[in-house]
Parts: sequence; structure tokens; C-alpha cells
Amino acid sequence: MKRLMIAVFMLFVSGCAQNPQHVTFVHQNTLHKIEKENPLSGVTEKSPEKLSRPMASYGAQDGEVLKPAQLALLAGVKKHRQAGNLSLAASALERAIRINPQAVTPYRLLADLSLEQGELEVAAELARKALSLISKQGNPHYLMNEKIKLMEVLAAAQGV
Amino acid sequence: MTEKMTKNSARRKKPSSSSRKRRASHPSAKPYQKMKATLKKWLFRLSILLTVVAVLAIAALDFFVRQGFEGKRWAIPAKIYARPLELYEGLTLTAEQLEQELIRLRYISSTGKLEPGSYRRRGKQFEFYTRGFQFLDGVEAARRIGVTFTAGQVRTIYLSGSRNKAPVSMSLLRLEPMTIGGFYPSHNEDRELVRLDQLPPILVSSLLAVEDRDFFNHHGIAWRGIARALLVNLKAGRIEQGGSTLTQQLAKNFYLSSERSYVRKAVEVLIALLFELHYSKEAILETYLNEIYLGQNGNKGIHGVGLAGSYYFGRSPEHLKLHQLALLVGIIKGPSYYNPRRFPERAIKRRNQVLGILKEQGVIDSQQFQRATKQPLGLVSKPRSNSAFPAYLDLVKRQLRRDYQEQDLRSEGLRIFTSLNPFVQEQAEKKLVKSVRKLENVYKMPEHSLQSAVVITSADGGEVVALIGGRDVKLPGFNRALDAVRPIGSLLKPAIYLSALEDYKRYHWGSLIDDAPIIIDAENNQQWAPRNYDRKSHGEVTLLEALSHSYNQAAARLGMNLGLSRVLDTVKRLGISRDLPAYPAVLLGGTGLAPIEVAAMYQTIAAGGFYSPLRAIREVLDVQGRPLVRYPLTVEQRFEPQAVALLTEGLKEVMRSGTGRSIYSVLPEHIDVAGKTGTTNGLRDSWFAGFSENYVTVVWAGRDDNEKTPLTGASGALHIWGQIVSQLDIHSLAPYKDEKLQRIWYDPVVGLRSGENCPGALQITMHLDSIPAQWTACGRGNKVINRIKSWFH
Repeated sequence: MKRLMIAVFMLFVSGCAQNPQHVTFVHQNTLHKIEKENPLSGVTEKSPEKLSRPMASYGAQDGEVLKPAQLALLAGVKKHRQAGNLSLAASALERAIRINPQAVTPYRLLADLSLEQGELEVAAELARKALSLISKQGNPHYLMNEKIKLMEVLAAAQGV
Repeated sequence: MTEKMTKNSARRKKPSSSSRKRRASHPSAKPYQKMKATLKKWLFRLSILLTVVAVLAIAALDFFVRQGFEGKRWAIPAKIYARPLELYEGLTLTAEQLEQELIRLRYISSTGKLEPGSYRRRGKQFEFYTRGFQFLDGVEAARRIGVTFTAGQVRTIYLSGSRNKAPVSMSLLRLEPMTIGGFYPSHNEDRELVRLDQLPPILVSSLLAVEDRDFFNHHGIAWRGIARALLVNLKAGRIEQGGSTLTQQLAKNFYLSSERSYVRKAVEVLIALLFELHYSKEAILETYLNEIYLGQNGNKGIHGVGLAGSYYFGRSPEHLKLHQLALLVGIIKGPSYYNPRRFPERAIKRRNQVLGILKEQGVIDSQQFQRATKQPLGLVSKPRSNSAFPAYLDLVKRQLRRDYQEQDLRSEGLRIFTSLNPFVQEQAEKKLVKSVRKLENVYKMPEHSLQSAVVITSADGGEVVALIGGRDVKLPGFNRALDAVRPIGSLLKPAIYLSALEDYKRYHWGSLIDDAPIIIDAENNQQWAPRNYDRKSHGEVTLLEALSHSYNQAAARLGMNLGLSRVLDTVKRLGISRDLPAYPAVLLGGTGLAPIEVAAMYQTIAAGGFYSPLRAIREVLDVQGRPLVRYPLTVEQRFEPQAVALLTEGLKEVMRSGTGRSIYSVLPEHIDVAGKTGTTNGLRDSWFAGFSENYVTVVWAGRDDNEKTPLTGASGALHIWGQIVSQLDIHSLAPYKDEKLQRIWYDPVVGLRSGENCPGALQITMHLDSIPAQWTACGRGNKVINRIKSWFH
């Protein structure tokens, strides 16, 4: 009973402490909010009083921690894809990767894009790379959704 | 008498019709008549021929002129750009580094109103006005930006508003990239094309006021001007004045030499007339503004107001002020004589003279005149010459020449975007030059005998961010980073250990290997007996010790146990495409590789076993900014990430306790880096290859004549490596948390799991498949105690 209580307490503490990086957290599901930004200009309409805010972390429960700059680029990627500009979408994703090469989502989207272009081998390799980044981080819970999507991309690329 | 003579002479002069008849009937007059008739006939024929020739010549000239004008009027060189700096919240960048970047981009510091290409700094707060730039994915507009910093990072970026408008936060900003070189036509002309409607009207008015007031009224020729010039020339006895219109000047610049002769002048007039016949005044004016010669940058001519604007003032003509436009118009008369950088006083005088003409003609008013004449020249620093980063450009050009014709590169106005990071490149150059001199001094080597080369790539994706081909960093020539194929010594050892670590069931870092002397049958019935650097044998050692202390005998034995072909296959999978000879000495790097090849090999390790071909070019756009080709990021898994992570653990140990440990005299203790030293026989080559989370850096040092040096990998190349890397924003290697790997205590002597305080226990990272099921007695005891302890933690 005592062990159980200790375990519950530990879980609670570790849950509160989950704060992998000191960067602004934006949930995957909030990607659409970023679409208000101009993907090329990276301009976000924010009230001036927020300009001097510290780079806060809001805690991650589900979804990858991405920097606002990456999110601005990903919003642009979506627009490029909708407009059929796949080359520009790929270029924007590479920019997002350069900002943080350990981020999984840009790799996953790049794999997905390659799949859409019929470049199956390229898609499979990019998916493998993204999966390796998840493994490297110890398969954290907040990346499980990404992992599932990547497995799907990999399966599609391999014709499974 | 006089009267008679006069009459006679008059008679002679004016023969009567009867005498003419007499003469005609005279026998001697016949040949004369015949000759005259023939002459007349030939003259007629000749005139027909000349007319035909003249018509043909004019037609040919017309064809030539039209083709030249309508077709590709200029050979536009391909421009090569460095990476654009991407600014975003949280980016590691100091205010000083941003200022350096702006200075590199030729921004000028301003205390007054900000204009495109200027900045203002107040401590850690910046404001600057970008110039705008067309990238692959669109135009990054010219904007007034504010940036603040905190603790070496970008804190906020915002669009700096006007008085009535609040600032707007930005998540990302891309500055324009620095031009680092180009492919220039054989006559070394350079230009940036502009359209007439892009240009400020005052520029056109000023040009016409000074050079050709009647431009819109004449037909290419100013007859009055020519007459005046003729008069002056006749008086002087030589050709002094030209009396040219803008159309004539264009004709001369386009097709003719600067020789002064009447024939050339006639052809110039003819071409000018043809121009006016075929083209509108606006087309001629636009062509003139793009063609006119306005200065010289080294061996490159500055043509057109577009390039001249950026060459002298660091901005395009539409952003130039009246006094700057007046200077451009003024120097048309004599770009060398009025060179504003060499003769500023002369240039100011000429500029004010132009402003005076503009005032006289009512183009500007007195107030504008007063204000403009009080302005300084406002020049920016001279752009870097084409040879600013010769080794890197060499790499770019080699890659381009694989995909493009030389002629297209020199004439099609391509825009080539590379991954060169000027900050990293400059720091690496500075530190390499200094370190090489220091090593020569400390080790008493002959002056200028030591050479070195450096390659720096991103750890993921294989982008080459900096490249140095030799200690004379600004001199083109032998590019050692690409072409110095030298034995790599122990840099090859990671391939041996990786081959072993891939076999989790058989090998791990705690596996023992004998470091006793070894004799191996080699090619041509020879024997190979590698020796350790310290000439000692160390008995049974763990693989980790063997790697971190770079024991040759142990490595050769392990390599032979694994099999030469297996190790060579690993080398190939790491990214070495060159065929290495399959003889045992290869195991200790007896074969040669260039630094760029070593970088490819270590980049695969740094990227977790994913190979990406090294790239210097990101994309190529055409002259209109349309994408021609992208060189996309590609990855290819060559190894299991866990095997490469284990290898990286070993390479980190090299830096913590092995041959690379001196690095922590320049790096902070908390930064984890991985790497390997390499030294070749007779100390002829000193190598170091290593990586952090974000950069792979390879350094070679040695002599061009392949003579001995007093340097090992640790004392030579590692010293240079440390000096360079300590100047960069390097990120510590992130801890590897893969569930298939575990850090355990291990007793290598008995080959069992052990505990923290057990004798002979070693803490190492192992793959789950490598971890022994059995424990030592001490380890088992510890295990129980630890489990109990864990309940309370």
C-alpha cells in the first residue's frame, strides 16, 4: 500500500516536472491558430504588451514541442501544399529542420510530402530518420501520436 | 600682247563647239572618248556595287543591332549567396554577432531616420531596415525591424511601427543573404538589371538634364552637338569632343571600342539611327541605364545603375536619395576620375555641379539643392571581392559544373543559394591562421611550412557551412580540403569499432581485446606489424580503452578478427565512395582520404547512422527568381541508430579521458563532444575529426612536401579544432535515451554485470542484447540494496 502511494506520488511529481525544453510550447492541435501568420513574413498579430514576455513553457502533455518559428513555417507548408507548391513546402520544411534538427514533426511532414510525390524510398528513409529521433528521446509519451503517423507513412512507402 | 594671251587662254579654256567636233573627228581623240565611256560605265557599275554593298552592310548592321538589342543584351553572371540568417526567438546569437552580420551585409549605422540598409543599436536593442530580397518561396519585403536580446539569445523580434502604430511581434525573420561570389563573363562585367518603372523619376530627369536634354526630341543624333564638336575638333587639330546623345553613347558602349576616329563615329551615328528607328525612347533609356559603365571593383566592371547603387550605397536605386542619385549621374562623365572612394572631394564637387544643373533646369528647387549639397557622400564599405572565400567557392563551382554549362553560368544570371555560414567561416579562418603560426613557433618549425585544411558541416543533413583550403585563406589555389588526399591514420578506427558494436551479441565496450604485438600477413608476401604510438603493449584492454587511447595493436587485432572486408564495408556505408585497397594497413588509416571525405564519414556518425551526401548548394534560381533546381535534404539509413549511439559514447570517452582530453582546456566541462585523433607514420599528418550536436568539424595539418612534422593528431589538428570550435555556438551532444540501450556497471574481467562500488566495475552503455544475465556476487548484493533504496526515492 505504501509502495503504491509512493508510486502515485512519484507519478504526480514527474508529470508536473515534464518540461523537456525551455522553449515555447505549442500543441500540435493549435497549429491552425498559427495560420493567422503570414508564412513568408513570420509576422504574428500579437498585442504589444506581449512583446516582452519571457520565453515561457506551458508544459507538454501530447504533441511535440516546437518553436514558434518552426510553427510559422509549418503553417506556410500547409498553404504551399494546398496550392500544389510541393517544392516550396519541402523548402519550408527544411528551414524548420535547420532551426531544430531534433524536431520530429518537420521530418514526418517531409516524409509525408515525399510520399505524396511518389518518392517512396525517400519517404521511407525520412520516416526512419524521424522514428530514430523519437527513439533517441526515449520514446516519450508526447511523441506517440507522431510515432503512429510515422509508422503509417513508412508502411505506405513500403507498400505494406 | 597681254590681251592676245588672255584671248588665247580663254579660247583654250572654252573651246567652241566646232573645235570640239574637230577634235572628235580627230583620230587621236577616239581612244580618249572610249576610255571616258569605259570609265563612266565602270563608275556606274562601281556605284551600283557600292550601293549594294552599303545596303547589305546597313542591313547586316541592322540585323546585328536588332539581334543584340532584342536578344540577350547582357551576359549576367551567376551570383552565389551565403545562407541567409534566420532570426527567431530563442536563437543563440549575441547583439555583437547581429551587428557583425549587418556590417557584412553592408548596412550602415545611422543615428537619424532609418532607411533600407541601415541600422541603429542601443546596447542590446537593435533597429534596422532590411533591404528586402527575393527567395525561392517569395519576396521578403524591406521592413523596419526591432530585435532585443537576453542572455546571448534573441528575445523578441518585432516589426517596428511608425509613431501611430504599435509594434507587431514576429516569430521568424530572414535577412537578405550575403553575396559571396559569382561566375563572371570573360570580360568581367557585372550588373543588376533594373526596369525603368522601378527607378525614381528624379534619376531619369537628372540623367537627361546632364547628359542629353533633347533626348525625347531628337532621332538619335544631336546635329547641333555634332557641329559644335566638329568645330572644336577642327580648331584643336585632333578629336576632342564627341557631342554624343544617350543613344550614341549606348551604341558606343554596346558595340564599339572607345577608339576616337571619324569612321567609328560614323558607325556610331548609324547604329544610333537604327536604334531610334526600331525602338521606343523608353526602351533605349532603360537599356542605357543598365549598360552604362560606372566604376570598377577589382577586375570587374560596374555596369548599370542597379549594381552601381548597391556597389556605392548598399541599396537599390529606388531607395537612393537625391544626393546619391546626383552622384551616380555625375560619375558617368568619368568613373575613374570621379571615383568617390578614391577622390571623394572631386566626387562631391561633381555631384554638386550636377545638383546645380538640376536646380538651373528646374528639376529641383533651391531647398532641395541646399539640403542635397550639404550631404556627405554616404558611401558604404566596398563589397568583398570574388575571392573572399575561395575554397568554399571552389566547392560550389565544382558542384555547379556537374550540372551546368560554363557558358550558362557566366551569362544566364542564375542565383545560387549555398549553406555557407559567414560567421563560422570567418571564425574558423581567423583561428586556423593564428593556430598554425602558434604551432610553428612552439614546435620550432620552419616559418610557413605547416599547412592546414578545415571542413565544417551541419551534424544533420550534411550541409557544408565552412571550408578552408589552406593557411592562406584568401588565396585561391590548391584546395587541400578537397584535394589533399593524405593517410588518415586512426581516423579510420571508428569504422573498426562500429563494425564490432553492430554485433551486439558478440561485442560491447566492455569486451576485452589483446593489445599484444601482432604480425599480420600483408600483400606481396610482406608482413605488417603495427606498433602502438607509445611503443608499449597494454595487455588485455576493453574496446573502450583501446579506442579512447588509440591503441594500434588492439585495433588491428580487432579489425582482423572482424575481417577486412567487413571493416571496409563499414567504411563504405559511412559515406566513403572511394575504393580502398583491401590490405591490412588500411585498418590503421594507411590509405589516403581528403578532409571533405573524412567529413562525410563522420557526418554519418554524427547524424545517428543516416548518410546524407555533403551539399554546399541549397537551390538555384533563374534570373527572374524562378526555381531551377533544388538540392533537397536526403537521408539514408546505413546503420542501426543504437550501434552509432554506442560508437558516439566511445568517441565521447576519447574526449573525456583519451587522446582528445586536452580539449577541455578550451571547452567548458558541461559540453559533450565526440571525436578522434589521427596521426600517420613519421608524424606526417595530424588529423582531428569530431562533432557536437550541431557541427561536424574535420581538421588536417601537415606539410605539402609530405615531410615529417613534430605534431600528433592531439598536439596539432586537435589544437586547431579546439580553437575553432570554442568560438562557435556548439551544442552539447544530447544524452541518448533509447530504451534499447542501458548504462550499466560491468566487470570486464569476469564478463558479468557488476555494481557501482564493486572492484573492477566499469560503467558503460550497452545494448540490451549485450547485457549479461549473470551478476558478480558484489553486483548482486548492490542490486538488492539498490532496489530497496529505490522504494524511498
